Amino acid sequence: MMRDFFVLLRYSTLNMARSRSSRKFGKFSSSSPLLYALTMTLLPMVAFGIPLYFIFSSTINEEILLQVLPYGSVRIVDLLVSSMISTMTVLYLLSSTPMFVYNLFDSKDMEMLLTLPVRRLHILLLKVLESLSLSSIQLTMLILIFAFYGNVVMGGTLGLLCGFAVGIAFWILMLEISILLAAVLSRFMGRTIARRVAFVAYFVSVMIWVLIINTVKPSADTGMDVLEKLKDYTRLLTSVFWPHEWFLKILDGNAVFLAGLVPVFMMPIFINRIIGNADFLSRPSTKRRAKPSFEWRGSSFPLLKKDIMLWRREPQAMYMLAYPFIMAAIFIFQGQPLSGTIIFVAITGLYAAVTIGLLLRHEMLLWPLPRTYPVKMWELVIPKILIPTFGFGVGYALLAILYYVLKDRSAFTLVSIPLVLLIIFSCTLLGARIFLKNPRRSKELRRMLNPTEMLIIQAFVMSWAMGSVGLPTIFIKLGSVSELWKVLGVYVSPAGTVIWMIFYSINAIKRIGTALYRMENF
Amino acid sequence: MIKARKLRKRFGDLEAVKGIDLTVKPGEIYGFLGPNGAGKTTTIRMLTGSLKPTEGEVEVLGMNMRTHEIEIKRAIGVVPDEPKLYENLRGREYLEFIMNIYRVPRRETLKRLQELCEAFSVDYLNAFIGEYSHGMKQKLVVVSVLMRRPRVIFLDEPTVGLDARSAKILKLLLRKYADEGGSIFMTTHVLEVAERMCDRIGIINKGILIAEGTLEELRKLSKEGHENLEDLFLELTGQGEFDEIINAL
Repeated sequence: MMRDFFVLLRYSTLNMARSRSSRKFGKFSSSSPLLYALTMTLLPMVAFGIPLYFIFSSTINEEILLQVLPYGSVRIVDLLVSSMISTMTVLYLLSSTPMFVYNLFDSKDMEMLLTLPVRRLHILLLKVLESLSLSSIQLTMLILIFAFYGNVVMGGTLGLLCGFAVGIAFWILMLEISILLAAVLSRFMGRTIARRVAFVAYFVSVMIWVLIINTVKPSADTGMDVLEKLKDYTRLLTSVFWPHEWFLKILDGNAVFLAGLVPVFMMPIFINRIIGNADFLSRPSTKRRAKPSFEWRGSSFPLLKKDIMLWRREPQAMYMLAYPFIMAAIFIFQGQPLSGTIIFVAITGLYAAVTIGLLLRHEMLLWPLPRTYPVKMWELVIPKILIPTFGFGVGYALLAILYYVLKDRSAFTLVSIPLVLLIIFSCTLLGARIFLKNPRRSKELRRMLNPTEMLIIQAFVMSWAMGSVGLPTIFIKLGSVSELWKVLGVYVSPAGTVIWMIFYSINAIKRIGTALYRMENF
Repeated sequence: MIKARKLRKRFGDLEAVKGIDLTVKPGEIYGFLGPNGAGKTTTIRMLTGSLKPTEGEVEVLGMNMRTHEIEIKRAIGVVPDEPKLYENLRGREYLEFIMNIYRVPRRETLKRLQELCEAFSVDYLNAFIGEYSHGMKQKLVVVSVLMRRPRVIFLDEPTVGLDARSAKILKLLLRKYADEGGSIFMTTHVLEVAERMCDRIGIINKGILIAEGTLEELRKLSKEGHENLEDLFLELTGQGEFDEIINAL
């Protein structure tokens, strides 16, 4: 039975390895695809996990960790580890479950796989393993926390190894739960909904992280102790109701909780039952029988209207719009307008570049259909430039004006508006240029831009932000610098950066036009 | 209505289309046939302005593609080989977008759209395109083109993915449009469709238009006296040797 699964896995990894690997990995990935896939999955875990473990364990005093808290019989280590694991478990389930559903529906080979004489459980398992590399860092952290706990409560290498083994068992249980949930959800969710839920869940989990970090942080104003603040959580987090508690209790020497391992072995049976008749294929819409009556809303700017609709429906659009404004507002209204502006520009510069990439991607997926529209190629790009530039730019202008009216009537606030607008505009063009260098990109947002491209964008954004806004403000605040430096910092730097951005933008516009014109063979 | 003169397209070292001349008159359905990789899609893309020819001229409705590209695009309809659409739009929104970008007359287009939706059973316009099956998308594309009633329509494998009823309706509609003076240029691998529908047929092989004419005229080209289009096509494209293959299998 498992032979079928390994055959599937071998050819699936061969396919994945060839599409991902660069030439230098060509032979390795072709001759040993399983080993290659395993290496590529484990590499970030090892590279990230080992240093993290040593940094984490070296900063914590084990004697303190074993002290019993003043309330109940819970040790500090129990509370610390329980809170970390429960948070990570929730985040993991929240992000991985809809992602599994989406991956199932999005698999181009699913139709072919379903025709093969293999069990559905093996297909499901294959798809889960294919998407596993995406969450390898989360898994590493989860397992490392168990290893850390084992080391603290049992002591020595044996404790570390036991913790590691129990951590893997717990992770398998989490994986099974998310597969079970995915199997159930796949019966109710369509492909589009699953994709949206996956992205929304991903960003919600990021928000939860930020929220938790801020909640647990000791308050300097009140002097409240962290442990006191966590008191209310203790009972809840260390309850045996949670599966992770069973596994922690095993490491603590409580043999009764070995029964916690039973679900690990039982779960595949349930999953197999549930997916018995699942087809894992995107179903045609059920929103039928709508009487074809139309209220045609005419538009003078159909391309802009269409792009706004597509942008609005990107699952990450709300997050991308909300996050920089919230961050900037926090800093600006705490009396740090420069930090707020720099943070805003750093985030929106990247988001503007990603936004135009996302919008261009919609056209690339349809190519060459957009070439049949009765418009010039440039008309296709203009709305895509306008959306991020005005979306982020106008938002910033409102924020700055609000600050100017309510808080501080400094000239910097008003001058920063056109500068920020120009930076975002230039970043949008930068994003378009980078995207069009290789229009055959992944459909997945997280793989749309590679790390080098992200770094290039960040380098440009920071240079433009510092040159036009950062340096002048710093030099104005510095009292004890020579007149020459002051002139250079306050006048030459912003003027030079503005000229650079204008020239860059003109050049980029020309190149984008040429790239689109030449892109007939895409 | 459609004229191509010495149309040539090179992709690096590969010459996909090697100097094609063709004409499609008003009121004519022109079937463009050829084996896989013969250059059909490249030709149709050059005729519709989505691909620039390396050499040669394209004229549609008396306008030159080089000088009147936008006007031509506004006047023609294109059904591509794959119904790729914006997946995050609803069907209704996509049609609205097409109406706005082609600036069509409002009242008559809406009336025609209503009729076409009923004819093709397009009752899923409120759902997102991402949820559609291949056939549902194909019907939406067909409806989005026919609702504009263009005078020249290009169709690349239009019946692929359509159910029997929709395919039949499409064929009848195309015939009706042609009888009313429109020009239809279509590619298909279903030779029965071409045989029954097309007034003239062009056969392309390895980038060269190897035969062109009515079915009668094509029959005269057969050295082996083939009558039906399938045998004729296979003979003319040099793919007619089956006995050895079948015996070997």
